[in-house]
Amino acid sequence: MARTFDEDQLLQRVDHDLSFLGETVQMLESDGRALMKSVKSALAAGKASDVGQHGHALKGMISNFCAAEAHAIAAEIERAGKAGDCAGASSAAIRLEPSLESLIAELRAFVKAKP
Amino acid sequence: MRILVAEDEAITRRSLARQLEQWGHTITLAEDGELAWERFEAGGFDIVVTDWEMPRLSGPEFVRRIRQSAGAAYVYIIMLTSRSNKSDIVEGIEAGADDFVSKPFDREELRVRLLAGQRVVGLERALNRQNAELRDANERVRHGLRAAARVQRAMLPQGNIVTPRVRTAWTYVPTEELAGDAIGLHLVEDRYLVGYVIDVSGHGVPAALLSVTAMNVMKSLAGAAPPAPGATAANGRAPVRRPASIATEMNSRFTAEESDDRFMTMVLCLLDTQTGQFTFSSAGHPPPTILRGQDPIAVPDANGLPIAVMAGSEYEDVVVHLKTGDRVFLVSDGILEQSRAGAKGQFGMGNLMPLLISAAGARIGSLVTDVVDRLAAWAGTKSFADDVSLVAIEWLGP
Repeated sequence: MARTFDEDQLLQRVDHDLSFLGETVQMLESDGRALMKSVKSALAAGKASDVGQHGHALKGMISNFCAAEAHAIAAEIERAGKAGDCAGASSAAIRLEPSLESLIAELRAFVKAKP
Repeated sequence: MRILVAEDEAITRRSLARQLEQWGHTITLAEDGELAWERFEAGGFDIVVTDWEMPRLSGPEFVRRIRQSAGAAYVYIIMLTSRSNKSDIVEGIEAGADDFVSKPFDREELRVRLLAGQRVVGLERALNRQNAELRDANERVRHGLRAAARVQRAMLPQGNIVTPRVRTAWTYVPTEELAGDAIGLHLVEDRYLVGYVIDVSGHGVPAALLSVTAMNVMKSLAGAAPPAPGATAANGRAPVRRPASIATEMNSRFTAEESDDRFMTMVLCLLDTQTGQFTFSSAGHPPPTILRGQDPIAVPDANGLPIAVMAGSEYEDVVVHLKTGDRVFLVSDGILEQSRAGAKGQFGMGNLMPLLISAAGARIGSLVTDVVDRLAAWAGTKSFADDVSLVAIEWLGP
C-alpha cells in the first residue's frame, strides 16, 4: 500500500533524526487535530475567513511531512475559506480529517518501526 | 548571529529553531507577529526570519515596523512564504524584506540565504564601526581646529587703536575655521603705527600655520615685541623699521622650501602719527587705497615679489604725506576677488571704491562692518570664497 507521505524526502528533511521526527509527529497529533477542530468550528459558525486562516496553518504544518495529498486538501480549505466559499471548504474538510488521521497513524508507525 | 524567528505554525517554528541552533546561531522564537515585534524591540538581532501570514500582525507589517523603527544597526530580513507570485514578492520587498525562503523550507536554501544575510550584516557592522571611527577622528580634528582658531584669533589686534592723532578699525572673516590671512596693527612708542595685511596662498591648516607664524614674526619685526637681545637704540628699544626692510627680512625668514611651497602676499605700512608721513611697501599685494575726503589719491605700486617666492628679493618703500582726515585701507583679495553665483565678474575696486567714498563721513568702525555686509549682499552669501580682511586707518592730524 502506498504511503501517505514521501519517506525518503521526509528523512532527508529531518536529517534522519528520528527522535526529532517523533517529536514533530506528536505535535502534529495535538496541534494538527486541534486545528482540524478549529476548521470545523469555524465552518459551523460560517466564519469563512477563520476557516481560511486555520486551513493555512494546517497546510503549513502538513507541509513538514511531505504528505502531498493531505497538503493539497488543506490548501483547498485555505483557498475556499479565503474566497468565502464555506461549502467548498466544508467538502474539503470532510476529506482532510481521515487523510490527516491516516497520516498521523502512518507517521507514528514509521517512527516506531525505525531502529 | 542572533536570529529572531517569527512563525505561528509550531512544527515549522520548532524545525527552524533546531536547524538554526545546529548551525550555531542564537535563536529567539515568537509565535505571532505582535510577540515578534515586542521581542524585536527588546533589541539585539542581526537577522529576522519571519512567516508571511501570522495572527495579530502579518509578516509584511512586522517588516515595515522594523524598517520604520530606524535602529542604528541594519537587520537582515528573510521572509518565509509559500507565495510565489510577483505581486507578493513586490509587497515583501517594498515592506523592507531582503530575501525570501519558500515554505516548507529547504535546509540548503535556508543556509545559503543566511550566508548572504551574514555577509550583509557583517559588512554593515564593519561600515558602522568605520563610520564611528571616522566620526571620532573628525571630532578630534574639529576640536583641534577650534583650538587652533582660538589661538589664531588671539593673535589678531586686540580692539582698535584710538589716539588723538589716529584711529583704526579692522575686520577679519575666515572662510574656514582657520584663515590664511593675517592682519596686524601695532602702535610703537605711542607714535608709529604699523599696519599690515598678509594673504598666504591656499587655505586650511598649512596656510593658517604659516599665517600665525607670519603674525608672530611681524609682531617682532614691527617693534611691538620686547626688544631683541643686543638692541642698540639709545633708549634700549629696537628702532622702528621701514616697511621695505621688514619685507626683506620676512622674505629671508620664509623660504619657499620651509613654507611648503606656499607664498604670501603682503602690504605693510608705517604711519608717523606726529607728521602724517605714510610709508608702505608691497610684496605682490595690491597697494593701499587712500582717500582724501571723497577723492582717491593715486598711489604708485611698490611692485615687490610675494614673500617666499625668490630668495634675495628686494622691496621698496613708497612715501605719501597724508593730510588731516585722510583714510588708508589695506584690503585682502578675498574682498576684491569675491564672485557671485550665476554672474560673471568680481566685486573688485569697482564696487569697493564707491562704498568707501560714500562712507567718507561715517566712522571707520562702522565702515569696515558695512563693507562685509555689502560684500555678502552682493555675493548673495555670507560664506565667502576666500578670507576677507580689511584694515582701515584714519589720520586725525598732527
